Amino acid sequence: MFFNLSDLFAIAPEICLLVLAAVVLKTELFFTRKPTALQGITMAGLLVTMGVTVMTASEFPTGAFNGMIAADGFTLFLKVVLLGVALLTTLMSREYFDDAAFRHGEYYALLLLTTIGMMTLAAATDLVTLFLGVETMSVGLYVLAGLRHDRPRSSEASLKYLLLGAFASGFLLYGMALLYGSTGGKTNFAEIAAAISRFGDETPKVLLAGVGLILIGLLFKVAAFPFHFWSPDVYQGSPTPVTAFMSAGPKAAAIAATIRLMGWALPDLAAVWGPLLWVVAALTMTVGNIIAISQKDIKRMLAYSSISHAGYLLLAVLAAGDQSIRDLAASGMLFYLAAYYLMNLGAFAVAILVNRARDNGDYHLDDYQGMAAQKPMYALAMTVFMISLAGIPPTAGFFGKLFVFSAAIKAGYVWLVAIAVLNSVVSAFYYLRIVVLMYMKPQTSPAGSMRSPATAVLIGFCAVAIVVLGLIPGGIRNLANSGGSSVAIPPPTVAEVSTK
Amino acid sequence: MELTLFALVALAAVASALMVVIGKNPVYSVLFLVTTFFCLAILYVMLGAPFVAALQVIVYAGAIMVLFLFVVMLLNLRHPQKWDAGGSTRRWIGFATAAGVLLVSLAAVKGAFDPNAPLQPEMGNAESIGMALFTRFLLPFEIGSILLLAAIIGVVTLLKRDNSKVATKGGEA
Repeated sequence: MFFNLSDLFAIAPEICLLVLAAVVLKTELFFTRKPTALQGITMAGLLVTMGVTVMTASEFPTGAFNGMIAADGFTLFLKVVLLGVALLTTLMSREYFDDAAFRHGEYYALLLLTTIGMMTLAAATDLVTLFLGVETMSVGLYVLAGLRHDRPRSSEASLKYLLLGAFASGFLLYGMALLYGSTGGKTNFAEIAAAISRFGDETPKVLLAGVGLILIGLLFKVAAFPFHFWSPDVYQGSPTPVTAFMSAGPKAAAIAATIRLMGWALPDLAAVWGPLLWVVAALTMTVGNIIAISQKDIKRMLAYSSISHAGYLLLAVLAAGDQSIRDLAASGMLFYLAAYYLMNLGAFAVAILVNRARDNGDYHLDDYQGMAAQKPMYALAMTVFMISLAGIPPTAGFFGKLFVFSAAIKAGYVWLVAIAVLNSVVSAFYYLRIVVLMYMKPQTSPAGSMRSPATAVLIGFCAVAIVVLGLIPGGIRNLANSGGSSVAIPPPTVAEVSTK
Repeated sequence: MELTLFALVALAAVASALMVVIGKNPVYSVLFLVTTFFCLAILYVMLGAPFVAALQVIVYAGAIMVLFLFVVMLLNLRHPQKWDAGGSTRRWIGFATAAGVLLVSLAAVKGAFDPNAPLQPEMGNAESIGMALFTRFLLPFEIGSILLLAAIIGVVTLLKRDNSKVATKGGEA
């Protein structure tokens, strides 16, 4: 045996999801094609997986499977968040895909396999698992983006994402090869960190080139400037539940992998990647927010808004370059991600309902005019999401920003935090514009029915959770703190096995 | 002797890789790519990794190239493609970028690797790779299978369309 049974606890959530994906596929094939049944099975399975994740919560500082993945509180927190993303996406999916020919079983199976990829990415402590996580996640997303055969935009989104994503994977892999070559054949994060500290001041240039290329690959997945060009088109063209999933899950997994790699495996090179990320973070926030102002389509607006949120999250990665406060940075990021997925999924769910009521196929901002008069509860929920995205108290978004920004200030990035705060002010303009449209403009055209019970439940849950998190952030904050202070990069427990 | 062989094979690899890019007939490009892969396989043998060399020939030069040829033939790209799609400015930007990448990589690689680094004797044989796959790299191996499963389901999902629609389109894909 080259792994312990306890290692299996570390991947219990992934095993559950894999079994669930198989069950959903077989159910569709042999028993029933009823969308409600398949959705019910998926949601029940995801809830069970969440329970299993929490119950098998065992933290081994030694990691699992010879240092391939971490089994720490950080990973655990992210896994629960990613399962939450999958659960809420499933909840809003059935009512969106109401086309009789749509294969729900395959859709849910792909969603679950993509979630496995995201979990692997969030847990990766080895370049090999990191790459496999990125690819498993991406392959699922390429397909999910192109699910609407009937819409050219959806196919365009899928192809664009596939081509650019494959290119980004090439950068990632090339960077890994250079890192592997220059550290004497190491893929494990802990071994890489040890090898780099042995270099001292004489870091080989090829190592730096490798780190740069890996950053390109990861920043593409996070959709940071200047690797963000794909995201508005892909977000707009993808089916809206998939867009919501894409904007929350993969971003969280990729940024978590980035913070672990940069803050824990490559802290010795912070003097090199720090200034680089400084510029990238500043430009990502600014470009995302400024272009979001001019958007007329809510999906494109939320796409640019999610680019700017990637910029705020990069602040946490930067702060993690300072070893004394990297725990604080990681926990701030965890809280931010927990808040971010709630508000983003909620906003996309409202967008789905408004779009259905209009039934004209596009997601124009004018559709929100006068919504408050007809649908006061939805308008109120949307207001909560927008306020939270803008980072105004008393919402979860405010505390997310507060924790990340305060970690960045402690790390000495005062100017960058100033830029981030200015950007939040700019972003408040376009977020609150929707609130103004909903409450202060007369209705232009009568809206159709917005009856979608499951989506309504989701919107209600997200709105309440955001307000509760904003009023009493303590509980999740404590969990995030213990997650942030537990980040580990375990070395391999078994040395290279010789054939002799 | 070994150096001469290396120089010959390496030159052939680079030359055929260049032909892949400048060739105007896509079928020729694919065939030159096969040559490149074979040259790489020879280099692997010279590094004492016969198993990797065999995989290179079977998987890349064999399976993947057949796939490439199928795609080229299905797309009906028999006529030589013109370069005018992007205009000459774009071509020069591409050329300059490639040259820049080459210069940077040369500068970075120069002196970074030890040309006399010892070979690990059993590095590339089937036994050591099998041992590594099922011990240290057990989990990545399994995740790889999940990746393939996701890809298979994805392909089926994307290609299996509503039957009535396929019938009206007459199988045009």
